[in-house]
Amino acid sequence: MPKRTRARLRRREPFARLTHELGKRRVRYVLIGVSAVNLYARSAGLLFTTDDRDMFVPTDPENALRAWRACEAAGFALWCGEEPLGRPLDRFLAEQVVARRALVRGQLRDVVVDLSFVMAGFDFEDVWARRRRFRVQGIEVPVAALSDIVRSKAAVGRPKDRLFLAAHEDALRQLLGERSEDG
Amino acid sequence: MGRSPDPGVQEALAVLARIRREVSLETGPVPLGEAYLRLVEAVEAAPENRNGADKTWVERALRLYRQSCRSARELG
Repeated sequence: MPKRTRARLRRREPFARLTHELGKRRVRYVLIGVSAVNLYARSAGLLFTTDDRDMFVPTDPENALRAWRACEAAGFALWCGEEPLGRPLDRFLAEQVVARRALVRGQLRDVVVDLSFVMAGFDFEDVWARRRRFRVQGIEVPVAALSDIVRSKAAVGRPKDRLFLAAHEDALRQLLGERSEDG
Repeated sequence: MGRSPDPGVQEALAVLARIRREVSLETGPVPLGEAYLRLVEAVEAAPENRNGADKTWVERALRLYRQSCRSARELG
């Protein structure tokens, strides 16, 4: 890799480094959850704080393996439950993790990424087909449709989802107000 | 005596208090209103949310917000 490219990569935020590595390895994923909702925001006043980023991945062991390798290349430590993800990172391990639909977490300093095989109420292929492609620090990031994200949160309906949906609806009403004033 | 709270902060706290009063904290599917779903569709269709839109500012804004929180100090 040319020196200039390496230097540019080092300057990138951990999340951008990760999305770069995921793209390089042709990993199929879509960003979901509150961090994905934030990418649809019109202004900083409409952003929601969240500590983690959720990625929905298909139940494909080869894809999962490529995703884990991308995490490691970006400097993220991998965890499954309370333990480090087993070794070696190979097809056998990926098949076990996929069979259990186990969540794998990547962490680099304060950046946490959850790789999930589950998005309540949705199949990966449907979400993938409707994805939006945004750019963050020059890298394409596949993001679930906003309507898919809110419908999934509504399907789960945990207290934090309910609070989010109420606050999000409120924020969108304010946005609509801004727009009618603009016009 | 401390400074009087910022009106924007008071407004935000009032919105949060109302949401907390009105939202049930049980777990289970939540029906979504038609008006909300129309708003969601409008956001998806907005020019700033087309494929290829640059969202680098979102990451930057959240990073600055986290840095501000980390450097916050209690007054008084």
